[in-house]
Amino acid sequence: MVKPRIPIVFFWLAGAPIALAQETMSGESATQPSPGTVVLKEQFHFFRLNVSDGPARERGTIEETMLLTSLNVGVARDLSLSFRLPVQIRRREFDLSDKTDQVEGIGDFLILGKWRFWNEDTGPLDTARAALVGGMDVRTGDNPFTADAYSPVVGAAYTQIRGRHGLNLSAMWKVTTGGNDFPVFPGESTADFGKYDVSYLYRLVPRVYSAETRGAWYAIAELNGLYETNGDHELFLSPGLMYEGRTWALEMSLQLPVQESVEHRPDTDYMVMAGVRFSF
Amino acid sequence: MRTNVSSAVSIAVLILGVSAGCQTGGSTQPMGAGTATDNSATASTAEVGDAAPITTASATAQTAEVGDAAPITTGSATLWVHGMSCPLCATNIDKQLSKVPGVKNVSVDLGSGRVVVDLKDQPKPSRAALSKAIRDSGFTLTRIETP
Repeated sequence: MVKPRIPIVFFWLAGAPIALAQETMSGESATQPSPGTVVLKEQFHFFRLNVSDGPARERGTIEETMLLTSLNVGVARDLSLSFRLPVQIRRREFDLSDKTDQVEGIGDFLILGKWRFWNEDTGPLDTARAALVGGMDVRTGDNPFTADAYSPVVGAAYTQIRGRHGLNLSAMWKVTTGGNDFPVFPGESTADFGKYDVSYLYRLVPRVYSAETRGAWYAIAELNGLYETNGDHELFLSPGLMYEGRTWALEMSLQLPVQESVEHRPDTDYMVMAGVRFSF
Repeated sequence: MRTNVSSAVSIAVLILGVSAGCQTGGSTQPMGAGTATDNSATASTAEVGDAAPITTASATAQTAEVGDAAPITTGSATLWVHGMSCPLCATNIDKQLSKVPGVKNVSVDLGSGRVVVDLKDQPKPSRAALSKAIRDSGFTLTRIETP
């Protein structure tokens, strides 16, 4: 039976970093708030997963709704801390019966530190930055919304912006110290978990910045890869749209599977995300 | 093991294609350094470590390298900054500069990288203090000009 438990990977799947400039929505960016600045981010996610393997009585669909609250604090010029906590609702339907079940709860807490170790600004708009990321999944969630483990997380991110174009590359790795024998999501199993992301942003409006510019619209395309050491691998394409004002931002995206090679858990049909963030 | 290639990929690829098409249009973003140079064509440049305060009586604009500890005696200063790639970046700059004692108002032009800082009568911030604020914002200050 597939037990409904929430993996920490949810933070990575959907818990976008709370960086400031043209950040990616599902990966990490090498940008961060300045010292003393706090960014609050609320993201709504809806996942639909397909249980097509295993005993026939267990097959069906899982619909996961999550509100992810993230707080990012600028500690020093090149150092920031991120705290992320999800509230989740999981609803499951079975193919062979009318039975459904639903469970709600709070997931585990993720603490991440980001250290920008390299930065080169070559023009008024142009920049290239690289950062190391490290932290811990902390077992704080309600059962069944906990991985019941304390798992270290490490990674790196690179951001480059040239005029209207932005590129983010990131890779993260979680060393799993616990895990679930019946995982629902990638990263929930006892296998270690890796995530890699590539995102491209294009500033749609305004074409040229000026002193009067109060906000900007961006088109976004992301590739999000998920790999587990048990052999499972998924790759998603995520088109999206983002508006950034001077103190707040809106974002939305759709995550679609490009390639799925999964045999230890359900596969993802799609994910929809909408979010807002405020800078204080 | 199963492999599933979603038909939705074609939609996403189409979207990517649109973005790529936009890219081929090219950016007409002005080069900030060029703009700055144009604006400061008549400016004089102080050497690094020049401790002499800039006087308001000076008939010509003066440009100083960052890191000067002398207080700025003029009513405003123009900072040329690199790396401000988005509107939220402007807020980062605004917040850090506003913390500097003596800073009254901050105006950011993202396109050129020009940040105009209006100063109070007293106290007057030094170039070093403004430079540190820009550094804390996560951006690169190329120079400071005063009228």
